[in-house]
Amino acid sequence: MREKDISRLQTALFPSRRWGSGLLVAALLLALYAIVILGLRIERPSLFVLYLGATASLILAYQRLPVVSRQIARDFRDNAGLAAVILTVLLVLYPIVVRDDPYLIHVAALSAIFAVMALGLNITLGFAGLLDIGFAVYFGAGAYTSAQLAIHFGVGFWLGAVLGGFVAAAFGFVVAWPALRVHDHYLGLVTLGYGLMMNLLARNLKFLTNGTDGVIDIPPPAIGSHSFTEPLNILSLSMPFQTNFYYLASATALVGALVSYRLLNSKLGRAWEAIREDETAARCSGIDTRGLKILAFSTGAFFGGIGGALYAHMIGFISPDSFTFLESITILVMVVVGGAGNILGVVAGAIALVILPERLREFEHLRLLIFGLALVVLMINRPQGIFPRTRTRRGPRPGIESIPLEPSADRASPA
Amino acid sequence: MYTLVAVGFTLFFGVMGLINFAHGEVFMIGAFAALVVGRLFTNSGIADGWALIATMLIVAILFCGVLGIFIERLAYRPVRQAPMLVMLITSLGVSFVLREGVKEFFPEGANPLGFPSPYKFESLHIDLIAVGYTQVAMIIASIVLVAGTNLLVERTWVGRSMRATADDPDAARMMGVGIGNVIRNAFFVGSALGGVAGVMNGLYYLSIRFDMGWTMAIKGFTAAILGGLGNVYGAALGGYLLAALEVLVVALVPQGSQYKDVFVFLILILVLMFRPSGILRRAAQKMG
Amino acid sequence: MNAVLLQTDCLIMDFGGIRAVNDLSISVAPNEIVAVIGPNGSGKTTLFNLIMHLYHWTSGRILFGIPAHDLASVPTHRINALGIARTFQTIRLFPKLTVAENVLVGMHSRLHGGLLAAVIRGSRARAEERRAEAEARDLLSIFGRRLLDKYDEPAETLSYANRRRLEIARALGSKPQLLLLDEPAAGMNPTETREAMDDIRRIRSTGCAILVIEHDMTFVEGLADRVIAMDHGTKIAEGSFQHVRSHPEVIRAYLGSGAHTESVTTESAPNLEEGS
Repeated sequence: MREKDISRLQTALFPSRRWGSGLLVAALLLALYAIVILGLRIERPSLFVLYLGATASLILAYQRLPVVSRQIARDFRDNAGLAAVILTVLLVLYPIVVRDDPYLIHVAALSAIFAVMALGLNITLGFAGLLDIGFAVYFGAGAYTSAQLAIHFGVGFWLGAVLGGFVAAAFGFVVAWPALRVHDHYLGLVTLGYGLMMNLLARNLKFLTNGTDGVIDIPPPAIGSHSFTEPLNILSLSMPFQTNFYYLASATALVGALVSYRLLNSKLGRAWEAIREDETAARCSGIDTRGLKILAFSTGAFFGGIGGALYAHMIGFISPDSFTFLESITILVMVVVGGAGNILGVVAGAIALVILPERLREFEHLRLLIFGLALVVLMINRPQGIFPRTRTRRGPRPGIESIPLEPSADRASPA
Repeated sequence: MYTLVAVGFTLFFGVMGLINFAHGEVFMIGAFAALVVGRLFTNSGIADGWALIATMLIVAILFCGVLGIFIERLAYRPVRQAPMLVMLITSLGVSFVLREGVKEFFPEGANPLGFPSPYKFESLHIDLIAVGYTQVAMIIASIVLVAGTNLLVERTWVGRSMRATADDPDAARMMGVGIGNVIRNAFFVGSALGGVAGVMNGLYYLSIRFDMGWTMAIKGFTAAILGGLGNVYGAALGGYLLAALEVLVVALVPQGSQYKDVFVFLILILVLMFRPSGILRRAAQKMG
Repeated sequence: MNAVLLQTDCLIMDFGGIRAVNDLSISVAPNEIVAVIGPNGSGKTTLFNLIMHLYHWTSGRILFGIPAHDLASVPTHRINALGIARTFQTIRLFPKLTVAENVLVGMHSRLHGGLLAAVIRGSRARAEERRAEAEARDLLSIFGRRLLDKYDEPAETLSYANRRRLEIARALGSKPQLLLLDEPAAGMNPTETREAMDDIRRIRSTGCAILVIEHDMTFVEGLADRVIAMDHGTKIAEGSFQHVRSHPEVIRAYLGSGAHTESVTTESAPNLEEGS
């Protein structure tokens, strides 16, 4: 199907172009929503596998038909405001839709938390191209900081989480500073060692982390007198308490996505991408590559810390076993498979990689193996991930406001 | 032990510019392959210790070498042209597959497995020092292997082509060096060395686990960096140095044995900060 | 006026056992176009790399600017901020970034705003982005519509000639006082070469000085105020194009000793108009 045909089809179905594309966007969002919720509801494993197959083929089809995907992308761009509104409404309504099963709300909240962290790694890896496979360190740093501050010093969650973010950023700084002195190549193994070492320290430094016993009874956040462990009342409906965390986590994820988006389209984001593409050329263009790489690391770590704090206060209990290599790799796979550099792709990866292990528990022990296979296969065939990075157009194409041309330049135009 | 793994790392980096995560797992597989040999021997009632060790080594060398080539063919060759990041992630993925593969499919793979080690408890007594036979053998073996590898790299056509490729792949190709072959050779040698190290590890510690690859990878990498990545002698030196330092820590620091892995990592960080080109290699005068 | 913009004093660069730059002393005046010629491997690109401080030189000094800064303590990215920009022999663009983004990166040292500004994106930040984009468009328009039409296309989709142009546009983004061009006419046909010469003249008229490495002698002859010839890292001749091309050392370097003393020219199309 050619682009013109699709446009014509759209215009035929929806006489007003503007309305037409808007309706399409709404319809697509609703469909996606329904698909996700359906996936969560399916009980029988066999049906679920079928469901997975169906969604996988849908995604494949979408990728294989660039004409369709480009059109859809254009529609979304044109109706960005509408899409945002619809999306927010859908997100807000989600707990109400699934309120009969609080577990589903819990899973969604967990997905949002991991989305925040995946966005963090997306900055380090997707934007700046730095391989960090010890991300769990920041996850843990934020969690422990916020938890211990709350328990021992009575620091409220809101302040504690932010502090947790900064502590995590410090952890990022500490590893980035020496490791980036020479080669980025070393980063992979260094961050691996960092993760293992920090986990070891967390197990042994009892005075800091309570060792393998972990930290329990982490107080939940509270707004005023409403504690997050109490049910939430919306529109005279009494929602299970997980709803509190769901809203908190989703809001954080949305903020995270917005921040990522802004970073991407700024001087800083461009500089990071330049570093990833060609570091020497970036340096010669005035970019302080070392400083910005460290900044990328720390910023990503900050996100990780925030995620960790959210996690700690939601689950109420943390131990070194919550922050292992497996978590680091899970987040890595979220970013790489979802599409490094693509904000939506990474979020989708996060959601998928929280939900799938929950639903496919029998295969839990195979998780790392599947990850390994997925990574290798993906790198060989589609290294940019399932949802590759797309470039934003910078406003209207320069046509009318162009500069008057000298005739000679115009005459000899090569390809 | 660290030496052999370190030399492997150095080879991979030197020839391909690749930090091969999967190398630690090859080390582990070497140990497991030797275990299979050991069991076969026990089952068929052969009691000759030397024969057992010799067979283990040969099997490890061949099996791991071939495995290395196989991995290169399957997983690394397709992504050789892509940015380094892609190759790193690929090697990470391969390491998972290897590691989990063994855990899943090797009988009882998830548990530590006993490893036959003849002569382990017999020692050589020189004056007041008792040195275990095993340790002596390991040291001798590693010296021999390192010297052998270095000879290979310095003197033979195989080695020289490897070095040429490392310096300038295009020039090497124009001189008629088959890059594919060179890489294949490098992988064979590197992986074989890793396999031998795995056997030695088993002989020394008397038990092996599927996850022994991780820590070894980091230590081997540290040793390689210590000596200068790309320098075979450096890697060897780094390996011995690291082992010596580790022993020191365990002896001097209270509760040292728990922290020795942390310590290794600290060394890595320190080296990277102050002497990133390693102790031996003279740094080219690059700025920051 | 004896103002000097760039100056190297007895510059020596050793790589292991190889001396890539040997006792090199050159200078570039403001708004001057100086060409560096010499056979391959004579150290020309190394010179550029040294000026940008990508390597640290073995001995000697490099001074830049009025008043002069000693570049020994200046890291590469700050050298760009000081006013030197370069292109690369092998063209090193940011392939996945668009044409626009490549130029905007070139402007990095002149833009303000860091992490916080990017996230908060206040009115000042937005205004600066708008101004930056307008300026990027102006820069691209030096080459007419060719690059402007590809404003949002990834750099990797550009043709060879357009890539060279984009690299120059990116370098100009930092408003350099000195532009280092490494073989800008390489791989170009005579028409493209002529256009490139026009482009460079236009660039010079904005006030910037240009140090250019080139093999194409028409290019050199038509543009350079002064020519420096190098061989094996050493300066073997310096002066006007005529002087250098008939210098015996230069002839020997290109053709080997024992060659006849005809002047050095390359295969240039016969009916090219000289100069502008």
